[in-house]
Amino acid sequence: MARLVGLGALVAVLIALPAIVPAFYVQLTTEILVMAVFSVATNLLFGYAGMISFGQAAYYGIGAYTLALLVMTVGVPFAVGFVAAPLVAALFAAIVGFFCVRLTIIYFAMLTLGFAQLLYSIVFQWVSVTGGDDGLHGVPIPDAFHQATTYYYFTLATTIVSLGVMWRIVQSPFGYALRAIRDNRERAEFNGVNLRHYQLIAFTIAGFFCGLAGALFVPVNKAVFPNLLFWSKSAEPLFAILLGGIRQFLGPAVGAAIFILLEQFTSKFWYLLGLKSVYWPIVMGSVIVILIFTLPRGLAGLLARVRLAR
Amino acid sequence: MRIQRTLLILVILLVSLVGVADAQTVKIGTATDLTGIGALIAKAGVAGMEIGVEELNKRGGLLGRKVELIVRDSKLRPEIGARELKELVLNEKIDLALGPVSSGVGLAMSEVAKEFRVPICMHTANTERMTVERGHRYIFQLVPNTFMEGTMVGMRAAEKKEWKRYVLIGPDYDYGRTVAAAFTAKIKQLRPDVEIVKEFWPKLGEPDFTSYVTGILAQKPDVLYSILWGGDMLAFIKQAKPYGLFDKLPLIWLSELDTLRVLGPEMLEGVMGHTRAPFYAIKTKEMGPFIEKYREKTKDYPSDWAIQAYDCVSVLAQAVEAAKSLDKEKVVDVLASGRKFKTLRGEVYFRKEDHMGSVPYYAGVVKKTPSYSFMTLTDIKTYPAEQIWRPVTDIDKEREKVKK
Amino acid sequence: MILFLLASGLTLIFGALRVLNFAHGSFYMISAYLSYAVVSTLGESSVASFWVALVVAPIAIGILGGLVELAFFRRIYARELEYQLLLTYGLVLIFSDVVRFIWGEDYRSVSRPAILGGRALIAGKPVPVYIIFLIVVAGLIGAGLWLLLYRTKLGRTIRAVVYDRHMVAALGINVPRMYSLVFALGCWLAGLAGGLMAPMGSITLGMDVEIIVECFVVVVVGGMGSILGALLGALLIGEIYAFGILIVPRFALAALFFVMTVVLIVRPWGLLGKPEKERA
Repeated sequence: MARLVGLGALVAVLIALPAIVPAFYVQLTTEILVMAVFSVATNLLFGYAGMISFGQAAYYGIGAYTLALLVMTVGVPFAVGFVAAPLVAALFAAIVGFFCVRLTIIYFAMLTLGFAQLLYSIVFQWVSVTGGDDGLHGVPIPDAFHQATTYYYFTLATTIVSLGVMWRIVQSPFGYALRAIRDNRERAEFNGVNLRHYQLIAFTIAGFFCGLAGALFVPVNKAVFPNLLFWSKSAEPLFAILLGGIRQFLGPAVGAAIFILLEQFTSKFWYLLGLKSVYWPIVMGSVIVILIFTLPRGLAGLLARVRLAR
Repeated sequence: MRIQRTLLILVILLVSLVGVADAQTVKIGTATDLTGIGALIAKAGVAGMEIGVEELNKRGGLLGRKVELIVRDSKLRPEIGARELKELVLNEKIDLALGPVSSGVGLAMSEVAKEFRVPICMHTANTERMTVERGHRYIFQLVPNTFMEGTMVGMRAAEKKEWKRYVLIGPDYDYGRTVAAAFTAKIKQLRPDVEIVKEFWPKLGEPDFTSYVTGILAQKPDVLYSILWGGDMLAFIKQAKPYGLFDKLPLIWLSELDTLRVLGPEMLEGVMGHTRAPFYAIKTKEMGPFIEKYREKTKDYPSDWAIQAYDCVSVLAQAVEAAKSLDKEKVVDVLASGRKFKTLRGEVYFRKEDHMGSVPYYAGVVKKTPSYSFMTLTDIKTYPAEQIWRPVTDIDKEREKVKK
Repeated sequence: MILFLLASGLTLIFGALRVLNFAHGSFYMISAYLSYAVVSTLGESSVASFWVALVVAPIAIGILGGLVELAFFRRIYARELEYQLLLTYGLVLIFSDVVRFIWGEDYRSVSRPAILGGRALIAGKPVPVYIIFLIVVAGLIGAGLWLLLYRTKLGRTIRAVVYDRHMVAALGINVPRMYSLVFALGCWLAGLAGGLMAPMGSITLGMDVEIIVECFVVVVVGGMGSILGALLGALLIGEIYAFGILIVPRFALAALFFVMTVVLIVRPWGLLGKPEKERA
C-alpha cells in the first residue's frame, strides 16, 4: 500500500514537473524516461532471466533507425513508424535470440555483443541509407512534438504504459518461470520449463521495449546517430541497473535517472571548480568501481538495508 | 558522517541546478570534443577561444559587459553535444555559441542552434552538409569546408600533368568521404584523363595500416592523396616508410601542425601539402601578437584549430559590436549582411546563401626550415575562398538533391 | 602480430579467470605511453632506449595488472558476470583519464631503432625489418607460452585451474595466487604489445577502445582460453581485413563481425576452443 502511494506521488511529481523546473530539465527528464524504459527492459533479461546480454544497444538503435528511415525514406506517417519500430526491433531480437539462447552465459554475452557490433558497423558504413557517422538529421515529427513539454507528456505516458506492461509480464507465471531458470536452470528444466523457448521469448520482449525506447529517443534530437548502437551504449543500461538495483523492478529506472544526471553534471562541476580539462570519465569510472564494491544491490538494495536496520 | 556528505553533495547539486545567473555578462558557450580522438584539437581550440575572450575583457568587454566563456564536453557523441548545447542555451542563457571538432557532433549542435535561434560559429567541424544540406539562418562556418578542401586539392593536383593514376586513402567518416567526393569531381572536370584507381577507407583510429600499404603498392599509382589526419596519418607514415612507399610515390596531404610537430624530422620532405591556418605563413598584423599570447599560455605554437577558434570568437564579438546589441536576430543579421570582419587570416565575410566564411586555403610544399624544429609548408600559395567554394548556383541544386 | 600478443593475454586471462577484461586495451595503451616516457627520458638518440623501454614497460604493466587483480578482481570472481564486465568498463574509463592526466592530449611517437628501421627483400617484395622482428617476437612468445603451459609445473597448475578451479583448490594449491600470476602474465603480454606498437604507429588517446573490440573478435573466433586459437584468430582476422578492404572496402568492419557471429553460431566455443561446461 505504502508502495502504491509512493508511486502515485512520483507520478504526480512527474506530471507537475514542467510547471516546477526550468525548461531544460523537462527535456533532460524526457531523456531519463527514455533511458528508464531501456534499462528496465534490459533488466528483464538481467535481473529476471539471468541472461547477460551485452548488445541491447542494437535493439535500441534498430528502434531509432526504423522510425527515422520509415518516416524519412519511405515516407510513412510518424505514428506508423513509431508502432513499427519496436516490432522490427523485436523481430531482430527474435532472430538474434534464436542463435544466442543456445549458448552458455559467457558465449551468450559475446554473441549478443558480436551481433550488436555487426549491426553497428553496417549502420556506420552503409552511408547511402543510414547517413553513416553523421546519422540522419531532421526526422519529421508531428507538429505537437516540437513543443518540448508536449513531447515530455507523450514520453511519460508511453513510459508508464511500458513499465506497467513489463510489470505484468514479470508478475505472470511466465515471469516466475524466468526467475526459476535464473536461480536454477537444471531444476527448472526438470520441472518442465522449456528453457530456450522461455529465454527466446524474454529476449524478444526485451528487444521490443529496447526498440520502443530507441524510437522514443528520436524526437529528442529529431535525429539518429550510429553510436546509439555502439557497445558503450549497451553498457549504459547495465550501469543503470547496477546503480538502481538489479532485484527491484523500478531499480534500473532510478539508476537511469542518476546516470543521466551524473553524466550531465560531471562536465558542469569541473567547470564550476575552475578546472580546465573535463575529467568526466574518471568520475564515471570511479562511481562504477565504488558501487560494485559497496552497493552490490544498488540503491534499492541500500534502501532495503536501511529499512531493515530500523 | 555519511549523511553529512550526502547533504553536501545535494547542496552542490542544487547550486549547480540553479546556476548562477548574471545579467551583466555576455556568455559565449561551446560543447566540444574534449574526450576521445579529437581531444588535442578541441583543447587547442579552447585555448584559442580563451585568448579571444581575455582580449575582449582587457578591452573592456563587449558593449561594456564582461565576457564569459563556458566550455562543456561533448564526449565526441552527437546526442551529448546537442544536450549540452541545450543546457547552455536554456540554463546558462548563452548569447553566442561555438561549434565542436567533429562534424557529426557539429551537425547535431547546429540543429539545436537552429531550434533555439542562437548564432553558432563553426571553427573546426567543416562538413559541407552543415551549411548546404542542413543549412539554416543561425549557422556560420569560419573554416574552409570539405568541398573547398577537396576542390582546392583537385585544382592543385590537376596542374601536375604527369599524374594520371590516383589512389586515395581517407578516414571512413563524413570528413574523409566529402573531401574525396569534391576532389574527385574537380579533378575529373579539369583532367578527364585522370583515373582514381582505388580508394581506401581505414576506420578512424586504425592502428595497423599494413594491409593498406601493401594494397596501395599493388595499385602502382602515380600519386597518393591522403585525407588522413592526426594520429592516423602519423601511424600511416611510420608504417608505410619502411615499405618504401614514399620512395617514388608523391604524396598529397593535409599538413596540419599537430602531425608535423610530432613527426619532427621523420616527416617526409617535399610532400605537397595544404592546411587551413598555418601560423607561420599568415602575415597579418594581428597574427604576431596572437602567436606570442598563445605561446605564453600553452608553451606551444598555435595550431590551425586554435587560430580558427580564436577567429570565431573575434568575429562574433565584432558582429555584436556592429549590431550594438546582444539581440540574437540582430547579430545574425550583421553576420549575414556580407559585412567584412577582421580575422587573423585577413578580412572575411559570410556569403549570404550558405553562411560560408570567405576563408582561404593555404597550400605549399613540406620542407625543413631553420626557423622551427619541425617541418613546415613553404612556397605557400593562397587559394581565396572565391576560387574554391561551391558556386552559389549549385547550392540550391545540392539542397534539392537531398530533398528527393 | 600485435593483435596476437594482445589476444593471447586476453585469452589467457579469460581461460584461467573467466573474466572478460575490457581493460585489456587500457593496459596496452598505458604501456605504449610508458615506452614513450622511457624513450624520451633516456633520449631518443640513445640506441638502448627502445630496448630498455621494451623490457621495462611490459614488466611495469605486469605489476600494475597484478595489483589491479589484487585490489579489484579478486573480490568479484564469485559475483555475476555483469559485475565483472562493468568493473572492467569502469577501469577503462579511469585509466583513459589517468593517461590523459599524465601525458596530455598530444599525439606521441617513438622512433624505431636503426637496426629495425630498414627493409628486407623477400621474394622480390620489400618487407620492413620491423615486421619481421614482430613476427619473430610473436613466435618466441607463442613458443614460450606453450612451453610454460605444457612443459613446466607452473603451467600444469595453470591448466589445472582452467580445467577445474575447485579441484585444484582442494588439492591445496593457492588458487588466488595463481590468479594474480596469470592476470599479471596476461597484462605483461598486453604491455609487450603496447611496447611493440609504440614505434609502429601513433600513441594517442582512444587507442585502448579502438583495439579492444577487435581483440575480442580474435579471442572469440580463436576460442576463448586457447593460445593457439588466438594466433589462428589473429591471422584469420588479419587476412579477412586485408581482403575486405580490397573487395568490399566499405564493409570491411562489418565483415569482421560477420565472421565472429558466424563462428559463434556454428562453433560457439571458437575454432580451437573447448566447449564450456555448464557453470554450476
